[in-house]
Amino acid sequence: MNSLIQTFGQTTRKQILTSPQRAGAMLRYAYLLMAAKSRYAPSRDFLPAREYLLSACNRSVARSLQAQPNAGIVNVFLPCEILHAMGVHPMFPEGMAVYFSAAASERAFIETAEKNGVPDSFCSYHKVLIGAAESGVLPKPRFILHTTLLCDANRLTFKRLADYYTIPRYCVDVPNHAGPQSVGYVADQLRGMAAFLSQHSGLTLDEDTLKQTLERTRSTITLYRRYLRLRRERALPADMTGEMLPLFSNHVLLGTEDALQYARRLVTDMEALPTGKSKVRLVWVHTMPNWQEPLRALFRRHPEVELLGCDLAFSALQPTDPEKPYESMAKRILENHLNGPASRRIDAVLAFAREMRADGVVYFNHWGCKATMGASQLARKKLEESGFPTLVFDGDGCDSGNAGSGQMLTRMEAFLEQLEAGV
Amino acid sequence: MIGYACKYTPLELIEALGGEPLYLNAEAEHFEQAERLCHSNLCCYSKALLQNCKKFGLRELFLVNCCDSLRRCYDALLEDGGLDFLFLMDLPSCKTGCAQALLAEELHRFHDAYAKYRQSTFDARRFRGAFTPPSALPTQPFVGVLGARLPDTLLQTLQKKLPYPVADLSCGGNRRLAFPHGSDDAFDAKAYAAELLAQPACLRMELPRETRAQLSNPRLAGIVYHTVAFCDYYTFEYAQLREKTTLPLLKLETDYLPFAGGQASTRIEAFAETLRRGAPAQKRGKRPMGTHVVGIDSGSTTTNIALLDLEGNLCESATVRTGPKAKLGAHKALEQILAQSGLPREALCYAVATGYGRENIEWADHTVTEISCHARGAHHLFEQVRTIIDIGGQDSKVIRLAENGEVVGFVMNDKCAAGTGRFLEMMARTLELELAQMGERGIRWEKDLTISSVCSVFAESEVISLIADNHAEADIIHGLNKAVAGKTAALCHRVDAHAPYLMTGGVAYNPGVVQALAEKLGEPVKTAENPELCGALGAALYALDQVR
Repeated sequence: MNSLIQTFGQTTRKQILTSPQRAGAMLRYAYLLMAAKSRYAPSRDFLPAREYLLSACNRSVARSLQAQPNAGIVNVFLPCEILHAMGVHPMFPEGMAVYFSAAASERAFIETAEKNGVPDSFCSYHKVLIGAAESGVLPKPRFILHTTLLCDANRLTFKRLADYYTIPRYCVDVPNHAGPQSVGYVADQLRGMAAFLSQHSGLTLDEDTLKQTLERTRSTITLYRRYLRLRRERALPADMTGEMLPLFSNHVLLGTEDALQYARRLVTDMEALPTGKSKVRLVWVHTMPNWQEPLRALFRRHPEVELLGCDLAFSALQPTDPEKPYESMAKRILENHLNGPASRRIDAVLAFAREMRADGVVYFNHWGCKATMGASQLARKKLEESGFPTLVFDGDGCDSGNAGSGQMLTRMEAFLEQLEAGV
Repeated sequence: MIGYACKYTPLELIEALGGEPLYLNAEAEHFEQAERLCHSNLCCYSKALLQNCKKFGLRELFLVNCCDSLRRCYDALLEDGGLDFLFLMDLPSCKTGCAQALLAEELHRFHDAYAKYRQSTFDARRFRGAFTPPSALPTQPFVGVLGARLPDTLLQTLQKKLPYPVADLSCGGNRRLAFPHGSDDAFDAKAYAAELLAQPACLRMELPRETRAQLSNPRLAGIVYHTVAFCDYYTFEYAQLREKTTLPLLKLETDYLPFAGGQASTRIEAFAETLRRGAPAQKRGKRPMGTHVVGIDSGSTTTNIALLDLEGNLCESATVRTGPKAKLGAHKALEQILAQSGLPREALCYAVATGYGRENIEWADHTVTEISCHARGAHHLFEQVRTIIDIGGQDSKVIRLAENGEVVGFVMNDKCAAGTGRFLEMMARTLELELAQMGERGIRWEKDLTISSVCSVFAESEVISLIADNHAEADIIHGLNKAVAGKTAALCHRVDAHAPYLMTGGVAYNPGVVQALAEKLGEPVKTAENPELCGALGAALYALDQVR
């Protein structure tokens, strides 16, 4: 991490403890500055589409740090089209945690959360969110909306924050199975969520606007699928941040103009690239520790290595029918490959690895994510039996105090050597 | 027999289909198999379950998708293929009509699968007979165990050591189910689903908890709140409960490995002492004659001994290395203090042992936990002290005192060495320094470095990187001191500690840590002249109580 960010992080950390509002403002201006940089002076090392979405995400996180008349905390897999259609701003904890790590400020939030009784073993993304709220940096949202999909932390963090802020909360309970009864169950809950939002925001939901939003979702997903087909034949430099960005566009920002523009530009950018493959092509499972500069530097030292994508970005690319918005959103949650048994996710990763002609898989065990860690051995076995060497890679997606870069680098480098020798 | 883990398991349906449910709640000897199948950071109950399935030779298992860890247990066992029958029930989080219908569908799915497996049919008489009334709460004052399920051995220990009857109100102990009306002959899945969902809600559910009602029970004399390592659910509730209740409260975390004395035993005994309002434990008989008493504190690194005359004056004290055996360290300390004072052994009329090795000191007349002894010793030395921060070799604890010196609350670090003397020892080794040198040099820092890692292993590699980057030794030590202070301040917060603070234990000799801690707490932190002696002094004062 460069020294400017380190210094910024140190200053912010002190402010978080003494003057949380000022710390929030510092972070907000930093993200706005980064948004402007990506927009007006984009890096030439990456695709213009990536810089476009980076700018949009920076703006979204900056907006979450400023008090809004209608903003709600949401979790990554909550379908947000209803919010977009109503003009409600989604505050997205996993995204914010990554941004706080990028600003070297996450430790102060984690310490706050642990000091307030959050267990060490809890997911770091959620610890950061709790710390950001309980330190007074995150402005009070109007409500909280979340699903129970994938992770136990959803059931705990959001209850706690609703109590802390004394604000209403809406939970969408997601069954494991995706049968017709489950679709009806979830769709009914999403209708209930729309009513909840109207009740607590005073805004009304126009069903036609919702359908238009879902139309954008459909186009975004179609374009993203087209991008993946193009990606199969083309090479890009390994870029953890770039591969994490579609988590915004394919989930929380899905249905927005920004997500659609990103997907459109991505296809255009890819079409302009010459065909040709990198020597080593990796599929990444779960989140990426893009805060870890030594790891980023390692990939820079290995230009022959490419990251084809992170499975969270393609976990729910289901067809959408804008005429049936609630059922479409319900299906998207239920058929998300992270829902249900571990085999569903492993099969999806395997299919992706085959489709993209990958050479290996990195299975990232983010600290605190029992759902991912618990399936790691199963995944390794199945993927390796199918011919994909797999690195089970323990680390932390956002807590710099919880990962030893030295050991991680050795493991990644040895894995790359193993793959390079085998290719 | 069909093993099960969760109270939402349809036990009555299992019995109606001829199955014999077996509650899986035993500790595992180790987690070798479980960690091979899953991961070491899975909830320890789940790991014990995986382990014990093999050990008990179970052929049938029913699981509920209660949490991520149990869902992954199911996946691992399914892949492993060692069971004849394995079922995972999808449990909704609420109890609306739709949720009941979904659960009813799951119950039908199980009914069909299990009936086919057993080649049996639903027996309405057995179904009715399987509903048993829940056990009533004690009619006299009792201690309630709340939180996560707890191993049977731990419940037995609590029953043995606490001065009140113990009621298991944890998530494993509060299954309460009424017979579903309308299911007289045929199996009515929807009515049964409604009853299953109407039980006291566990924390996974989107339903109100019963905790508030439990806390208002006038006979509730104290609470043991149990959490399982790597199960995050209940720690959240504990944080809230701590704010709400004024009852004596003990938080215990276990890892479903054999319940070995150590820290948990110290905590339970200290809690029993709090419940008995500080009265010391049972006597083992008293020597009729003598002029002095001793208190001995057998810690993991050092053994401290204090000799008082019958007026309560401190005559002599000594500190020796404990060595591999607590018993030998204690003997050495006793020999030394007798030599220093010139007294014969017969002059000692009473001895109280405390500390980690207290149970191994045969010549002590009785034992008192180090929590009570530190509190007693500190109050004797500095009456105004309200919080004791004791950082020893293998554990750190924070004890909050009332004005009269009684223990109001305490908290101890978990099994991790971060923030203890051992952590500093490891770091001193990395820096190739003696502990004393580290103490001296840490206060002469210039650059404010931060060691981000809280894990000893990661911190060690961070220190190595800082050395490689040519950072000054004093700055690195200061970073380490801040890391220890941060961990300790978090402990202080968990017990609502407040000034005046007194730091005891071997780490109090390290001025850098004391300074960093004072900065972190925003209050001065006092140290005693001999910070390691506080526990032994308290033990000696308890001994004096017995002969006065």
